[in-house]
Amino acid sequence: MSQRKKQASRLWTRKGPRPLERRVSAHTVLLLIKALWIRYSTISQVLLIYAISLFALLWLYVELYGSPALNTFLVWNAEATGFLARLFGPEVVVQDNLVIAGSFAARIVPECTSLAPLAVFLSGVIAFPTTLGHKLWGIILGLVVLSAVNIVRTTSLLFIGMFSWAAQDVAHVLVWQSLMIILAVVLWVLWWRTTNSIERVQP
Amino acid sequence: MKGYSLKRFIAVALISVILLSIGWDSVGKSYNALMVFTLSSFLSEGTQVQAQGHEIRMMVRREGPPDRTRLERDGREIVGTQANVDSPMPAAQDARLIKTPNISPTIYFQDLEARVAYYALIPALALILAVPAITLRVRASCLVAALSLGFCAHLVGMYLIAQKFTWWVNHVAAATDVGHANLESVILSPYYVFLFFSPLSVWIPLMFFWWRSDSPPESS
Repeated sequence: MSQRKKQASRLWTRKGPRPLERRVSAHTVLLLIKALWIRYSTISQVLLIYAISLFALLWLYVELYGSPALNTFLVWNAEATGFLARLFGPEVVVQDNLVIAGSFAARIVPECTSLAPLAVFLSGVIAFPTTLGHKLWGIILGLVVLSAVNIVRTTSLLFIGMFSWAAQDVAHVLVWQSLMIILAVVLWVLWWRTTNSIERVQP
Repeated sequence: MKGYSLKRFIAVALISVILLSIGWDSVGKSYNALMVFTLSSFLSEGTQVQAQGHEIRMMVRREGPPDRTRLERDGREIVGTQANVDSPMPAAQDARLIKTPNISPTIYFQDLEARVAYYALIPALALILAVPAITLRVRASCLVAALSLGFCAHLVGMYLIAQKFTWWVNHVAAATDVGHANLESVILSPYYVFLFFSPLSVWIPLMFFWWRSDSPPESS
């Protein structure tokens, strides 16, 4: 056996690395973690705050189930839907959170409101690193736009339901719910771009 | 991001949502059947799930009376449980020691609208399709990741719902609640939230990488 092979076989039979090697490997790992943290710290913080905010807002959403405040909000949504539908002609009756148009009736439940997409949008606004003023402006923007579009959504579903139950089912459960999430993301992108460009212009 | 068009992003996202929604109306039934088939192997004996088109029916069989018994003593409602045996209150001890009602085996069932539980996959996939300036390979990987993560999240969510429903039937359901259980506010809300938003987590890293690439370079 050559000298090199003997050295190699001694290395293989040794139990674990020497203390110096252990220190070096631990040091390397620490350096790697530090480098990764420097590279991705901002994104990591944003993602962490996003996750915590989304969790907190959704928890609040679940906690609000059955509360008088949420019931008032549901009635307000039903009234707004009835008002918008009446502008287009049909006879619409609103009883608490129930909207009746002809032979079709729709009950406004928490999932029919803009609260879930708002939670997605507000979490993005809270997580994005910017000034408090920009965040407040983002929150108002989201509240107004998502609530308004949601009233359009419930009204359109009322009209679709009057003509086709099958189409209303797909539009209600799949299309509009997904579009509300997409709208929340698009709003967030628009808000972020505006905020970004304002911050670049400012000295 | 260079060459990025918000209009194009919105247009692709909207078209994708509509096409995926129409597609899901038929493909979703197979997804639901696969979900139920996978879920069945994790559930305990006595708990069954069935796929009925876009619906999931959960069935739990209870052999005896529930562990908790609601009784009234001196005008106050007392919930009789095993813990009441150690209670210093004589009324609570009575509540536990009283003979529990003799009821025959009961089957409880709960229907879930699977499309409501799975719909978050549609915006997640649509957003991945719409996000600009990523290669086809990255896009394909993200789509696979969204589908895989979505399936796992739905499986875990449905398993938790089944476990909670089984617990409710064995511990809380009263003898008079035979048959369909209306548990919307008790067990469904928290898990629905989990089911809704877990697949959406796939696009969050995408959005933030996009944001970072669009941001000015950080000064060192």
